[in-house]
Amino acid sequence: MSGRFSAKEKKIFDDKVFQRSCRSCHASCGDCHVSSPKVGGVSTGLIKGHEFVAKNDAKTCATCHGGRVYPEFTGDFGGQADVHYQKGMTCLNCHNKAELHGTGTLYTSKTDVREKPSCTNCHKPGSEKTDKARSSHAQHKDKVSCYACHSGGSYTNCYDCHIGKGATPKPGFYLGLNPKDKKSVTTLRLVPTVRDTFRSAGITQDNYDSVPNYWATSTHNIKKRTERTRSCEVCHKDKQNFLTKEMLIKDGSKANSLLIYSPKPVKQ
Amino acid sequence: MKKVIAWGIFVFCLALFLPTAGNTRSIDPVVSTVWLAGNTQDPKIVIVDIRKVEDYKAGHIPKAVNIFYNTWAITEGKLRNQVPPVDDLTDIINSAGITADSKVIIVGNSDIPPNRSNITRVAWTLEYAGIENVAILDGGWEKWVAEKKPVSTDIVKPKASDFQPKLNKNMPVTKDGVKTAIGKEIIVDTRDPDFYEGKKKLDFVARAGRIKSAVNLPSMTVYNPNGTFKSKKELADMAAKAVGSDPNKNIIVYCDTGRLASVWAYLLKNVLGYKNVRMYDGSSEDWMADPAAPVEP
Repeated sequence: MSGRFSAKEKKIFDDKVFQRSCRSCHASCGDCHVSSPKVGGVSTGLIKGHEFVAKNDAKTCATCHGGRVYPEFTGDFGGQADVHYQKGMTCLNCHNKAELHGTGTLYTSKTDVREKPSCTNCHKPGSEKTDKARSSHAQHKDKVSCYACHSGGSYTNCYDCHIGKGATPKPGFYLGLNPKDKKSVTTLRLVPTVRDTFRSAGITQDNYDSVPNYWATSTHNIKKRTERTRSCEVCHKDKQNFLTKEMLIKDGSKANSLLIYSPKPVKQ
Repeated sequence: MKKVIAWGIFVFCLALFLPTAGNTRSIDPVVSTVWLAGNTQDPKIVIVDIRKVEDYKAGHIPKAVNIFYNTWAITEGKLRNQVPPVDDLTDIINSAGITADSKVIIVGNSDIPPNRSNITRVAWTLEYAGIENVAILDGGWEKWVAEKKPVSTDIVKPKASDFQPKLNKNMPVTKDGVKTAIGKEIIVDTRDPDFYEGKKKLDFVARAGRIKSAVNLPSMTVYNPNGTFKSKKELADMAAKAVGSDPNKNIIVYCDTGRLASVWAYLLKNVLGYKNVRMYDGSSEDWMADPAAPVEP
């Protein structure tokens, strides 16, 4: 998002917007381990009296991530629980302490964090139980993200955000090129920033068209089997859920069209 | 003397939910907390806790495995609360260590209506998959805790079984099946009267009203305030007023998404002995989206 700002606008954003809005969730120790962070000005209070609570995923994590990620994970949004949740895993089974607390290295984007979880940390390529899974993974290696095939279905996309008014969430499921590399196919999530999101703060986003409105997303609704793992035709013939020019949001960033990808037919 | 009276009450309560004649069950369809506490050592008992993972981790009935409700009932296309594809359902059942001769006890929250009907929906799904001995814990987790019965925080990971579902295809019914049944079978709307009468509807249901010819038998009337079921006689009286007493009648139950209807689907068949009960699990969400599907009022 900050790529859209000029240097002057970035300073206004840091002073006026980040402190008022983003800071409510960017927390200190006690915000997660003693009380829950205020979200939208609302606090759910102390987790367990004045005790320091090491782990309570539903409270220490879901208070901030309860709008999008957590309901997706439990199936309360979208109606299909993530397979890891089905098997009894919660946030901290994948997201470790080093990732959450940091190691002293500053990253400018969460996608750059070295300690972030990866599917292949546990699911080693080549260790698949079936030939079909093994060959599918080999064929799509470095071309398609795990999420693109294993995302269970719709996830939250947010539209039309304005300071003080918030955004409108709607379910959606989009496949297209990863904005980071413009090569690999992955799940895309609509970011709610529109051209006049920060206008009331004096930010006109001079470089708005330099960054797309859709970003690669690590969906938290993973399933072992999906329509796409069951049939090649879902992508390679029907092209279901792949972004098209007609699907792009109106008056969106000109960079959006660079994410459109059309899978080629395959012989089965 | 007090012990004799207490034992008498216990036996009487058990008798209320004894399996009906002709059933192949070897376990009652509704079991009490007292019964379960005395039978957890039975190697064939598999206790399935359908509460959220974090609630299970905080405490559960000893030996219970956790398979959360949203695993058993998924959104498929535009329809909520659908049975997962059979390969996924097979994985789910086997991950709980359930075999054909298991006695499966479903435990869930009994605090609010949707949680109560989650329990029967899972029981219905297991029966649909071909598991004969399925029961639900009367009063659910809340009653177990209220009675200060043992609670464990040990995570149970059973050895996976290799059960292959044999689907009871006469248990669900499609929209076309319901259309054919109008005027010939008893169609039961299990929603609250305001929904049956068309005064209210849920946002995702296209039209208000009920399936043509449906009678009303609300699912939420079957519970006592503490989430336990009313007596078998009370349930039988309620059912008889709506569908009559002939156990051979063909009955179709429905609600908005196929969750609430599972309460009466389960009770009519397993507790009251109605032999031909099917559930339209597409329910109003499916029916009302079809402009050609007849609706009253």
